[in-house]
Amino acid sequence: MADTGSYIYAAGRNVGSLTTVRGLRDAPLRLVNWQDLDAIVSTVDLQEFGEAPLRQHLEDLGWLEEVARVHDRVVRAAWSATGAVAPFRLATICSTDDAVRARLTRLYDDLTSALDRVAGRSEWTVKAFLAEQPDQPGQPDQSGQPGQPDQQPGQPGQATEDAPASAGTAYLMRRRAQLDQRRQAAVDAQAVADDIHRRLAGSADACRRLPPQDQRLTGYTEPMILNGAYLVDDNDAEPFQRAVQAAARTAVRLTVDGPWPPYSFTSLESA
Amino acid sequence: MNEIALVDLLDRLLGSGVVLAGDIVISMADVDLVEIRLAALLRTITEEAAG
Repeated sequence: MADTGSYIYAAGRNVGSLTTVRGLRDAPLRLVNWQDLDAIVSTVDLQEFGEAPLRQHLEDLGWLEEVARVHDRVVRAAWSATGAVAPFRLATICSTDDAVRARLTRLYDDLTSALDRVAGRSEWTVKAFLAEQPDQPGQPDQSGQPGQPDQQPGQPGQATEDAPASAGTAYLMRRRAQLDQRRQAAVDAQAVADDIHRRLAGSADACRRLPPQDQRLTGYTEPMILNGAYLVDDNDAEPFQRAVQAAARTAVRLTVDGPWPPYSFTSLESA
Repeated sequence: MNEIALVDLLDRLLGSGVVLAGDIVISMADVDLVEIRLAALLRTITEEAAG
């Protein structure tokens, strides 16, 4: 039983030698070839990258970051060498190079059409954050506790025993209005995100919406309403930036990052 | 070319890319991986906040 595997970083056409970059754990990179396709692989120790150890390591952020950064570095090296690259998912490991070649053979058509799709194009990401707005401006939430008198003196002649019920009802109505407002704000935010995405999609060759990132991960207090990935022809990078500027609006903060290898655009339909 | 923030990189390396299935050593569902990285990131952040 072999205790090593072939870790696949990416596939590309006629990749050539990647001498400036090394693989995981400083292992040398090699190419596994099928026709004009090359898979970029390196040998990994299954003591570290076997299924059971991998499950443990994936929960270790330091380990995960190290592996992800090396993976990214190799993908970028292949990307700048060829102009088109199909990155593989993190931790895709075959038992032997022959198994890698068998995969290339089987996926040949899908991989070549994916490479055609992304050739000469880069991925940009645009995120929209909703600027925080207070609930009910001008109508600060009172203590928010049920049963509080509503600060309105009862009408003369009103039966006193109605008062607690009215206060409770008023609280519930206020609470419901608040919830409705939040729900409406969420709907509005979604509409804003949809609109921004639609405009940017018009300036891109392909687009994908990734799930908005958790606030605890972004480090921003504003909620993310759009996490979009856009595949843009390298000749259209400037018009795309202008489209981002044009999509800006009040109460929404847009960030744009790139160019990146086309990570989000080489998923194969049937893998 | 800017370096990708780790969160963005993991979004892509765990949520996209060419996925193989079948006779390979490692094969995990994307849902697994996305949950794993979220759990790992959140745990680290929580630990940092606590420390």
